[in-house]
Amino acid sequence: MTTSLLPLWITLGYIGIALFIGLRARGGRVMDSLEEWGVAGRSMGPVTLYLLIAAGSISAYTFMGAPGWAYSKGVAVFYVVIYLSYLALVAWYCGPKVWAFGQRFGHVTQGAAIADRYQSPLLGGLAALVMSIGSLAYAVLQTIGSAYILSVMSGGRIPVWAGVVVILGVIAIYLYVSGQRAIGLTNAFQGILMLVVAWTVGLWAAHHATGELGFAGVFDRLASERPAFLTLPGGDGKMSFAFWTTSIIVSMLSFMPPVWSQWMSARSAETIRRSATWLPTYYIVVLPMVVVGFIGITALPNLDRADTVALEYALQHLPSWLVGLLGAGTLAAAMSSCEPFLHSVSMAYAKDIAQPLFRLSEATTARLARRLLIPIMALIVAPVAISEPSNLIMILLVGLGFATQVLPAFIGMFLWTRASRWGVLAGIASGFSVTLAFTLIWPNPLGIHAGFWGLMVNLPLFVVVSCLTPPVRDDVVERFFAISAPGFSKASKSTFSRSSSRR
Amino acid sequence: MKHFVVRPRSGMGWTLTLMFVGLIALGLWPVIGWLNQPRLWLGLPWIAVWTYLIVLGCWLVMLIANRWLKASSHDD
Repeated sequence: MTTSLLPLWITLGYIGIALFIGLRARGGRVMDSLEEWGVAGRSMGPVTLYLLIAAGSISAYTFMGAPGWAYSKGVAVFYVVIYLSYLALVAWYCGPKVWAFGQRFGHVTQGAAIADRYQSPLLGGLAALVMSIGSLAYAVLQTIGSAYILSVMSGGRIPVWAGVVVILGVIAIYLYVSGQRAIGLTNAFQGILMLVVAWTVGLWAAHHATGELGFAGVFDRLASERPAFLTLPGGDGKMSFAFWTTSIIVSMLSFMPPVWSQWMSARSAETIRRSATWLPTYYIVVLPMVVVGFIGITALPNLDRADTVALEYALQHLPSWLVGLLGAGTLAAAMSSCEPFLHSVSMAYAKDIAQPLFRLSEATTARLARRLLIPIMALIVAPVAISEPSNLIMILLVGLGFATQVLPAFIGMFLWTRASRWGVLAGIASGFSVTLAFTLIWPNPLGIHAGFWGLMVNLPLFVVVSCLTPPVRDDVVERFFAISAPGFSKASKSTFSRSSSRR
Repeated sequence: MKHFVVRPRSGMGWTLTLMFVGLIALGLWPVIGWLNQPRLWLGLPWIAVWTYLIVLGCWLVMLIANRWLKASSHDD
């Protein structure tokens, strides 16, 4: 714990700036529709979108968990950078199509797109509901991380419950007022702050530990003293090639709802391609923080909690102002990935569940989505975060495992016209059950990620059941694939008309 | 309606698809197994260097893809 108040003031200063930017993001616009509050009027330019997606994908994990992985496992931590880069490839391919679906068919949520493609509000609502479990668990974890940082930066003067209230209160105010525009601008600010903080902390720590300006001295020492940390399966022997490979595949195929909303907030399809192209360059933010974890292997050999290594090292060896900057950067990482999840859950509950269930008008649905933010935060996220449940990580893993199991729904949007409602349901249900069993009962059999086992059952069943059940109406499939595969769609139509005329 | 699986319809499309798939393969087993040595290059572990080469590769392939898309839309 720190005794100086400087780190606390720097951290509180960051919160004040984020609040100011979030409130200003509204810019006099009326937030009475989901087009505006939910997807920022589909107006975001390439730089904002780049920082929005980049900062959204960099959570408190980068500042706490990733150095912790480096500290306990070693180079295994780099799988995160690889899958984040592959997610950029996925964004490049799918993002422009999702944007076009939204623009032409009026979708503002992932659930709405699924309901439309499969002509099933039930499927859309079900997907939204189960996706929200992972999303809420993720938001809770980031809130706990934020409150922990505030507690450490204040030297224990701000208890965790007060930190939770402060962080959620600030996010609630600017999210309610400015919606997706607040997420865009605050993430842009947080994204730049994280990059500056990570490199300053990483280079300073390396210089303090080795007397050099680069990272070479850190790894030279590890190569001679602890070489196991430079290879797989890593320092603790748990990251096999199978787990590395399947973790990357499962993670890159997870289409989380906030990412969907971010794609739909772009000004054009071209904007998404340009942002996605530059997205991998942002992930140099991970390297310096990971180096702090590697330094900790020899500098702090007896830590109880690996994920506190960066903070502990900073508190023991870095100046107060840099500890404060690290606090602000970690808080920025936690808030920038917490707020899109809260926003997307509010929209999903209003648009994908309440609207079809109670036949609400568009205007009422938009009002409901904004107002739902408050009970979601006050009745779900805050109490769970304050109680810090021990099985939260398990809920998160199951939730994220489910995110991958929705893959058949997306294959039917982008790649395969024959995908049917029942095929998707069968795939999701079977994949989710397998993932659940292989997470809770028999974790990751044969060292293969539970979500990958789920996909191995999910995908074949999806194909078989789709072929055995009626396809979705032709006009619906045609309008989706006119966007997903314009050339194919025309060819298929002409083939169909030729064969029809022959009959 | 005649159902289909979407696949590339031009040489350029196939090349891009192969580049995307190739990049993904570079980050997985068995390729990652060949680089699994406790050695350093430019002061960083081999796996770290390889990771950032993949990052660079993703950026370059998408840059090339954008150029090709732009050129093909001009041709249209």
